[in-house]
Amino acid sequence: MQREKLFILVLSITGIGLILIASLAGIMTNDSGDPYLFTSLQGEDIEIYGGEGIYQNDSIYKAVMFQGFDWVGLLIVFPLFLLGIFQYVRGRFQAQLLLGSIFTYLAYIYLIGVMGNTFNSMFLVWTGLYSVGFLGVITILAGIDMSNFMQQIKPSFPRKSLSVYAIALGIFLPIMYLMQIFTAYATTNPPEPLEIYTTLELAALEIGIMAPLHILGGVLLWKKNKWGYILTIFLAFTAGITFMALSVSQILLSFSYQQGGLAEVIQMAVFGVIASGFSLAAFKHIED
Amino acid sequence: MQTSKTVIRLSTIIALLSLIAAGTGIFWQGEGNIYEFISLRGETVTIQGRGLYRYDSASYATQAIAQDAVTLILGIPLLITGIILYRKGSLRGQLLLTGTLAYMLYTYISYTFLSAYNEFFLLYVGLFSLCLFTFILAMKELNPEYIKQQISENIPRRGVAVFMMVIAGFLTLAWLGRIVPPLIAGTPPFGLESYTTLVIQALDLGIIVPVSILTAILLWKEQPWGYALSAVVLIKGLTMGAALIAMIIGLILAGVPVSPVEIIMFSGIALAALIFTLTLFRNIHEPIAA
Repeated sequence: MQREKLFILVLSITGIGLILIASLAGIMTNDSGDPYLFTSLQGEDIEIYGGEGIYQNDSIYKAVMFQGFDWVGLLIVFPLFLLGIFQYVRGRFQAQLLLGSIFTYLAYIYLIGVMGNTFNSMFLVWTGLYSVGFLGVITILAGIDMSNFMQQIKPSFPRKSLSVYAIALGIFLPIMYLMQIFTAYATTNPPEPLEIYTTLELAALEIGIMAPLHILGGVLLWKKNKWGYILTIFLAFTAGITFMALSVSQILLSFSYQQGGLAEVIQMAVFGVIASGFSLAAFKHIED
Repeated sequence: MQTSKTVIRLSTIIALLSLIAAGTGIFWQGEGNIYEFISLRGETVTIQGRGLYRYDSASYATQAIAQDAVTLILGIPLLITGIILYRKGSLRGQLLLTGTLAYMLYTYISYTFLSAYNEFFLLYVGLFSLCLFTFILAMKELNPEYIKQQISENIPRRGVAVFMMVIAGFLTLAWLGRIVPPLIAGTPPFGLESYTTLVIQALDLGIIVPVSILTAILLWKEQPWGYALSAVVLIKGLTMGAALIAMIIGLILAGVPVSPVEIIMFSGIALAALIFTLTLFRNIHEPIAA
């Protein structure tokens, strides 16, 4: 067996084990919290989730947001990961891209978790997950046979629409976060999503990494560049799963904590359907 | 050797923006006084209360100002030197530039996620993003086979590989020693203070440790990427080591107790990184321009 393939398998098995631990820990230790108010360093009163679970020191919003990721991790990412590993062992090209997409998701979500959630007992597991994701993406990218890549893309691949979607999301993401930040600059109040946290880690990742990657991927795909195909496939998968998780979180927030309403649930669900639709369409148009 | 104009332009922007970020961190101290804050976990934390780092703990603010000084005195001049030499087609310049970009990337990732939200948040995000994409471009420009050819066999290859493993081992033991006992005891870890989480530990354990191990293995096996990565990691280690020494000096001056073991270890790592970097760079053969 090739060394590179073996390394991918080691990373995948480590990743699947860690995501199972992380998801189960989040779900099993959840006791619905015991909310209380805390005054942040910037003088804002924030409702803390409380209780005994791993999110006990997080704000209600962030605790519930990550519960959505735990459920989606267990019910969607875990089975897809298993499928990807089995197909990868069989040498299927689609599986290589699926594992690359899952590694991208792990690197992104667990970097958000480890940098943005309050320190908890999953700190080392989340660190392991984002590290596995980071090393996995690099190894998958290094292992893709670029000379034969275009032969495996069907002519019916939704190139233009996926390209427009990626660029649109790449423009929308920073605008959304910049509006919150500029409003805070103008009012000299702390930005609303800061809550009890050190900084706006989600905004940093979206503005600093995800938005440029989406725009770059979209532009390269429009120009029929091979890297554009790979980037947008990985990113559409990540966005699809992320929006699905956020839809679950929004439902939990609306029904259990009366935060947000039907409009937010629908908004996240629509984003989820669009991104997942593009992801599915992309994978359907790849030949083995 | 071909040079990338994009890398040169982006690195120049990074030098300018980091000059603003580091300069403001050092020279704008503003008004206000330190005060105490009870953290979410019930710990009393001393907050800086003034300047750019006014929402940070006094301990972190001291370290950030020290790191700003190192960025200003060492990081930016090395980056500019790297740009100038790289423009001339020098391999040493290319490796110096890539290594210094790695230092800048690490620095501004940590500022983005670890500094308490302040007016410079977007500047930190911009620098982090620029450093990340420029570093990727600079890495893409490296030609590992050529680098291996140009490095003399006199370099202490195994010594550098062992040093990389020592760094990885030290970081792993030091940070696990800080994280695991409080996890078992259910207490907040040392150094958490008013912060969300342990950003440096997450970065070191998630990225620096695996990259150091990978570099050590590749270099030990005389793989071309081992030579390319070790030059980059050594420069990053050297600049970061200097920053750590400056932080320790800052903490001692501020009256914060620092473990003698950490002082000895970090000074030793910085000194070893300096010796290995100088040895490596002295043993790079630059082709004579036609």
